[in-house]
Amino acid sequence: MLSPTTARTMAAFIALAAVSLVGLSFAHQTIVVGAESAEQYRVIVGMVREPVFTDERNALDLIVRTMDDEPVPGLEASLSVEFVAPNGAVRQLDVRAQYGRPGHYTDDIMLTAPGVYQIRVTGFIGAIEVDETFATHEVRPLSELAFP
Amino acid sequence: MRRLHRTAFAVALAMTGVVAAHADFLRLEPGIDGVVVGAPSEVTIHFTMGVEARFSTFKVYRLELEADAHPADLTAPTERERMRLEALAASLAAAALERDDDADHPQRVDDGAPTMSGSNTAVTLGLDDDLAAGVYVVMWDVLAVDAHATSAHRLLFVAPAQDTEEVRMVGASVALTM
Repeated sequence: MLSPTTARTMAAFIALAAVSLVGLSFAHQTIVVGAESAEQYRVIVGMVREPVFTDERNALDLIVRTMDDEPVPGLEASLSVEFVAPNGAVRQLDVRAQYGRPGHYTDDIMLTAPGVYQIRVTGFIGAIEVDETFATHEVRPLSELAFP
Repeated sequence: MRRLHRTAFAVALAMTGVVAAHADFLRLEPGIDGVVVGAPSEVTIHFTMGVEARFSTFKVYRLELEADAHPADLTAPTERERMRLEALAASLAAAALERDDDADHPQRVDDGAPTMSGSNTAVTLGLDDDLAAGVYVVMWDVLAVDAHATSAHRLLFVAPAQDTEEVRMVGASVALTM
């Protein structure tokens, strides 16, 4: 039997962990692909550093998992990613696997204009053809952080 | 047990203070951009640094394809065909590298006896005799000498021998533009 203090501490820890998890996933966007197929995957897209500011080195954070939450490795040559800037400029990324993180893919980028960017992911996962567009959160000017 | 030994070995290596990049793929031999004309008797994987053979796995599997997934021309698969095959290869490699005792698996075509170069940066796998034309997946799960583990795969397109002249031309073109 737990003491009330221990129980409260455990409850607080669990609540904190839950909030942390929500916070982590909140900044990334998830789309399920293969919705009309028996083969489905979760494609999760965001940036490695969030919130995102202009003029700082950042990177794509692309995650592919099965519906059983298993990572899907080896897709660096079967997926293509492009960023579309608020002014319509397009940059093709050279996707690579993140070392030590199966199912995670990345490429470096520095966003220079504030606004919302589109991230288009095309290619194949398993037997599923993918063509999905994600949107970043508002990219804010780095000058907002300048002080004094 | 092999994984346990590998982990222990990796920890021991890490404690020696060796620090470097992990063993990245460099190139496959034979072939140009993964395309080989006629059945090769062996395939060699080159890495950017030495790998520990005792704690690494290398396999070659035939990629079984539905008719609509076959490249129209094995000597020149399109970008879209390659991307589709890469995704299928990733699924195959993930499953095959987890398998133990798969020497008799019907899709496996290597002899299961990798030989290393003197510097351990190249691994050669013997292949079945008279390999049929088609798409194969060369896959590995290696522990580099710097204790970093990586898994990856590459496609190997085996084209029928009658296309040899055409591929020689492609090869010459690639060589001239490099």
